[in-house]
Amino acid sequence: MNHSTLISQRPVKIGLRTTLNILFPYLVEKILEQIKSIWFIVAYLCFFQIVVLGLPVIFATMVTAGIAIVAIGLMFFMEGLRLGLMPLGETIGTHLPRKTKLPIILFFAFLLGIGATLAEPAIAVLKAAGSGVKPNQAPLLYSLLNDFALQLVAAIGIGVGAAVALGVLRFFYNWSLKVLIIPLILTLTGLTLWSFNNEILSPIIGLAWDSGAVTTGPVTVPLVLALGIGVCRIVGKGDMTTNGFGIVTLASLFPILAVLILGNFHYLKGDYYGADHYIGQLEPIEEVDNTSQLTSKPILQSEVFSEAEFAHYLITNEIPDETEIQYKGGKVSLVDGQIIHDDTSIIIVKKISQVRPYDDDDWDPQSNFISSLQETATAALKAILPLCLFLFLTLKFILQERLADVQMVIIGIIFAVLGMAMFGLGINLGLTPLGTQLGSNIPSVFASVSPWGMLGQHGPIISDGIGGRLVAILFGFFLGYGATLAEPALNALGETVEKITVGAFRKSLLMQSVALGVAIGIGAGVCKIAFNIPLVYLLLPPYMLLCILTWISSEEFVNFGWDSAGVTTGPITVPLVLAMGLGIGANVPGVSNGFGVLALASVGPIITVLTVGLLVARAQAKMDIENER
Amino acid sequence: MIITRHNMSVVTLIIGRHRAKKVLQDLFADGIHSALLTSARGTLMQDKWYQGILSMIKPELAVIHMIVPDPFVDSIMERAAKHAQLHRSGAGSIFSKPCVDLHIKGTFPLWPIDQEELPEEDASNDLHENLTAIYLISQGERTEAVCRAAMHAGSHGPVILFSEGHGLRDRLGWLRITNKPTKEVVSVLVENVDAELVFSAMAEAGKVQSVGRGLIYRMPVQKGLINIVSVYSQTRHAASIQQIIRAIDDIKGNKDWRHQDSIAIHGGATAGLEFLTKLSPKSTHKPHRLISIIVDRDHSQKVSLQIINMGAPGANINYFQLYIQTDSTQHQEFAQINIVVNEPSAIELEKRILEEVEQDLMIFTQPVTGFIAY
Repeated sequence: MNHSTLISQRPVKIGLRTTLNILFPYLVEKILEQIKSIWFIVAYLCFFQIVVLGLPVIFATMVTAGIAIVAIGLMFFMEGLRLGLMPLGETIGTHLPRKTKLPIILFFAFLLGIGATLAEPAIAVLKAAGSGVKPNQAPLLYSLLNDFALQLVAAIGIGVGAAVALGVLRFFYNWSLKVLIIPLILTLTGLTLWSFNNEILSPIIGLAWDSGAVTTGPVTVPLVLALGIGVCRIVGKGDMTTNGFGIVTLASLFPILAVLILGNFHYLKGDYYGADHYIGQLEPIEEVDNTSQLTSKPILQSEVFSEAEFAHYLITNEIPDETEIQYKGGKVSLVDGQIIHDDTSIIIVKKISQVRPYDDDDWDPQSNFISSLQETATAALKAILPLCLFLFLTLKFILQERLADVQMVIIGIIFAVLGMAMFGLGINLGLTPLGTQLGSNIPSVFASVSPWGMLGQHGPIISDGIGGRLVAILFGFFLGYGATLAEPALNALGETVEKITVGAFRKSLLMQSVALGVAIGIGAGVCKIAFNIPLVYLLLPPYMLLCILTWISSEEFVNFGWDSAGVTTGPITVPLVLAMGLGIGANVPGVSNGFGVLALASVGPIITVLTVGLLVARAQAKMDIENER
Repeated sequence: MIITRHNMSVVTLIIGRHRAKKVLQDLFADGIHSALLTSARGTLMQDKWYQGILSMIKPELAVIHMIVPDPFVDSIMERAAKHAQLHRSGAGSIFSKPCVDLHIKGTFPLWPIDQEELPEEDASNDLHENLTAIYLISQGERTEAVCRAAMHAGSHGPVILFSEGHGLRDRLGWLRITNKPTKEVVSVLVENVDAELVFSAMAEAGKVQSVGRGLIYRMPVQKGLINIVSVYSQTRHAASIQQIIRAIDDIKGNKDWRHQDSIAIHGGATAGLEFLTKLSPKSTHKPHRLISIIVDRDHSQKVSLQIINMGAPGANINYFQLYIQTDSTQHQEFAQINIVVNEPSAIELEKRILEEVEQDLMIFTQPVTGFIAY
């Protein structure tokens, strides 16, 4: 049988049926992947609302639809990253060192950093977190968020730009990430301590640290990672294990520095709200209650007696059940040891019999599907297209190169935009309402509150104040864990780690350690809000611990650990955590804003990843010894 | 212009990744001309349920290919073995496979023809002959099972590489997005006596005979030295299967006993040895060839698609960094496109690739002694 086995060369033509046969298993596999990553957070939130709090899920249909859209959106987005954004970034990364000189590369990296910051609306998140800030309580913070909002964005942008440039420069000279991180942390710690001891400056600490956490989003991270890997494929030196990592870390530390410096600058210049050189409008700007957007509670309305009930009361003179008696006006005096009301109106009010939904809609009547879709689609286009255009132009005109498979990259970019729009919409429809409900209902474990979207009072479920707060902390813990596993940027990072180590380092190991770290961080954040502990006490000791851990860990874990910390706070975690932080904060006296939780959520995973790294290194050293025997 | 070279071999060195750089420097100091480097991982079995979530970190390895004229092979292998300290337990492995022929189109850094012999080394010849290399390429989800089967059948812990698989799906237009390109190559180096056993065990575990599962092939190895760790798991076994087999080898003084069906260690912990008595008749021993094409990485996609359009059933691409003696600050990246086809097709395909592909490339074929795919 000495004939050739080469297949015929005719182009393959297939019909619709075959197309579907090929497409279907692919879609099933991809959607299952996403369901695997989001099921935990969804099941957990529902469980808590229904079983622990004993409340129904409001707008259940909308929430369900939203979550389904999240899964489909994530599927498209992750495929878009795989097919489009990451190959684009990596290709540019490999051509840059071959075609241009170092200064041009650094300039490109700087521009990319700024562009990425502008594309991903971090500032909106910061504004939401600072929505409760009163100008007279925290004047500098208020000014930064309002009067100097543009400068704030610019400072963060320049911070990220400088970070990306430094990160790329590091690859050329093979610097250790440790050597860059530790001095940076010490500087940040010093500045934070200095600010903490100052009444005006201390409120900006939360803003600064959170801005570091939110700048690195689901588009920036994979793009910057891919770029770094590309550059390292060409110029990488050393043991080639951690090539391409580290930029994300720097991009989450530099903005903190930038914001702290900006705050101090305005403090010294004295042109913040209420200070001598303030040039903005002094009259309190009409207070926009942003909190209400996140936790819009319908006003509690009492129920009324009907005419029939009144007639019945007149005849029988029996006070109906489920009522409350109020006394209004008149004089109260102590006569012969008795309290006597004179000329007082006695009012009988009907109590709301039980907690029940405000209305029976399964869909939030205020949420407009079409306009919501338009909004998220615009955001997705803004986040992805300008960046991709910038990359395409760089590739074409500066590098004069072509992509290996342009068609595939374009399909990928379309998928990414589509996915991001859908998954933003799904978050608006599904995860945010669910998270907001729970966030505002969570205080009912330790206080009596009116549940979100419902009439009546609920709670406290645990009358012991401390115990109830502990339950809230526990809730935050698992919320952090589940939300992290669903974060797209972290999933992309995990896949990259697995790919670059040829599977030696599994994605699941990284994801689980990071999720545990975020869980601890968010637990600590809830603790901060519930007991009103200053952020510095919770933030600085872990960072000090980190300096030590970073120093003794292997370069590999330092890169993976710090980078994964930078990506944890993404589009799924942030709305959930903010809703919860604001909800709990509103029920604890003296808490003005929800800042700081995100910063704590990014310090946690670094500690856990580095700790896991040290444990694994120990276990493997032990195993090697046994092998030698 | 096409240059044809005869009597060339591919020497492959597998060592821990952190030592790769140092060993390469030593080898260059000894006079080698070029080396291709890629990364791989070793095997570490996971026996505990929780390791599915919190998996252990597997050993990171480097795979270094050197294309060397036959007269230099022994000398280079001995030097590499010395630099990499391959005599130490778990240090790595080295082996050489002969090429049938090798053609270079355009410029390509390769061993010059007029090179003198390398200075002689002290001949502490630890190299074994009668070895076989086995490669199984699959989508990765069965890698764990394949490794387990291979080790039960007497292999060392397999070395796993990533490769990019291309085939029929790439001809489907936009539907090629459904191609999951990352494939895993499970490779082992075993003694000839074990080869059939390990080969069929791996083929069975990898289910390569079902549609779209992958392929397995084996190649003769000229000389080699295996010293790869084969930690079976973290839990302490009294002794692993291979340790038992090695111990029996030592007692018997040979490996012939392995052919006997009457060995007395069946059942229980040694259940994996069932393959000893069940030699699979399924493998094809019709002569096949492995065609390897080395091109610039930037053009590899295009070239592989072109080759698939010439009728090759499928191609797997491995990416390498090229190290050449002149120490430059930038790496050159190359891709090795591997295709396994039967002998007549190989000759035809090789001819057409040399004629039709425009890019500079190096192409060589190597004999394949067993091949299974759907």
